[in-house]
Amino acid sequence: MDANLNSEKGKEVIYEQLLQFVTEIIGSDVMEELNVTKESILTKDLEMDSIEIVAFAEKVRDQYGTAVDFTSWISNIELEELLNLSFSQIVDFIYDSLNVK
Amino acid sequence: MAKFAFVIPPLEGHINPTLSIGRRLLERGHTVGWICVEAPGIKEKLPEGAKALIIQHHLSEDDLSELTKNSVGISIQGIESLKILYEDVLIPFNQFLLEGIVSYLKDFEPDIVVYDQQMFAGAVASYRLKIPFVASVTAPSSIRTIEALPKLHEWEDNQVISFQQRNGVPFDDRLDEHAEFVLVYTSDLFFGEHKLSQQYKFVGPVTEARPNQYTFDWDRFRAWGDIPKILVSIGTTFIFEEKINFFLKVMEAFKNEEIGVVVISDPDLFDEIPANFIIQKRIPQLQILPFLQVVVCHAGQNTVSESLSHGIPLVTIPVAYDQSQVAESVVKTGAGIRLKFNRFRPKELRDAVYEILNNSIYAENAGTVRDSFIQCGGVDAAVGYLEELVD
Repeated sequence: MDANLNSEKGKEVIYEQLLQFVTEIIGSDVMEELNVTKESILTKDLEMDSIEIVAFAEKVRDQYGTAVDFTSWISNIELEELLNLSFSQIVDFIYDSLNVK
Repeated sequence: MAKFAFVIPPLEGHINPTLSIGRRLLERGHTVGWICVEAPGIKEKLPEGAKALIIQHHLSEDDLSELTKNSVGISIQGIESLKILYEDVLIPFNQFLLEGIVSYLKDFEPDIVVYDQQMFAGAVASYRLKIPFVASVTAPSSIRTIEALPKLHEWEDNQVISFQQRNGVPFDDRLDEHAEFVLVYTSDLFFGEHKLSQQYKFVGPVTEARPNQYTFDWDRFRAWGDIPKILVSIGTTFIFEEKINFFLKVMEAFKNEEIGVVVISDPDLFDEIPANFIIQKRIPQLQILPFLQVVVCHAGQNTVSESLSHGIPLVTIPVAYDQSQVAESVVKTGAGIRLKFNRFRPKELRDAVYEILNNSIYAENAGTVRDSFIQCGGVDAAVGYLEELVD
């Protein structure tokens, strides 16, 4: 586990990691054209569809393993919530999961 | 001999399989009726001998179009389109037609009702009148649960279950589960892994015997000679003008290439049409497909099925609804490449088409899907299952 994740910088590190995953999925040229922030909504602002969200979830799972039960978390997200899901919500979930330990 | 009633929405892709199956039932001496809302051209589509059970209404063509999603789609894409489809289209549309369906079924007294799965009012009406019913699924993604996002499918189901309950059906699951069986117009191979019961009959795409309704510039098409030919279609339910950027990128991608390009769009939207382009609003798609090497499309279930039935690989560019999942099936079976609708650049589209033209593996994989479709039995299988119910 990256020691930074427990520091003030932790959320920033997680956010950068998530951006990397999304870039791998939708392409770096696309990412460069978008003004992505922590408040960007994956489905609306990044136009990610269900298949891309699933690919994203797999990358998160592979990165954090059992320390963060991202698969269950996202599988319990209702349609309405998914339509408003931002990076900051995901960052908070991962950060909180890592810091419960 | 038996009596069958199809309950359909006025949408081409949903109607077409019922036309082929219904025509075959008529040929075999059965009585067949179609219950549909009054819409332009709907009666003319039905085969000879069909009973047209048309629900009259006082809506304008625009209002009807609004109600049947034809005009939806300018900015609504991705997962949000699912929500709009149910809340603004399917639920009000089914409620609007329910009593009309009940009334026609009472008069017509069919032995079996075959309802389009999106016309779930047809299941409710049949249940109320105690007529056995069969579901017809033209958009197989609607019976798929994405394992990582199960709540999406659950939400869809809940919309339908609430509709059923408001209209007198006591069950807490969909009536599809109580149907005699569910006709699914694709193959197991293309649909991918699933946990559906034996009640789901994968009969493959049903595209045969559709009459040719549209003219086509065959002279120009033949004049292209031996160069590769492709079709570009994002379906007929979107307003072409709102998708002009898409079509301009298509033109940019291929205007200087040695490729013949048939585009389904409005030719009046373009200042100039290059010699290697044919642009028409409607085309006799089934007649043209055998001459094509690649189909570029929005991953609508019907265009994809028709292309793969001819063993033609695809570049998919999904826009909305279930198209993302159909595109995923194309990629998973190796029968094509996927691009992003708003994001792709002309060069990427051009590269994708050349990648498919230059690598036979895509066509081989498309051929494998075609074979899986053939093995499903198509119209014969569907008619066989239906006749078993009434023997």
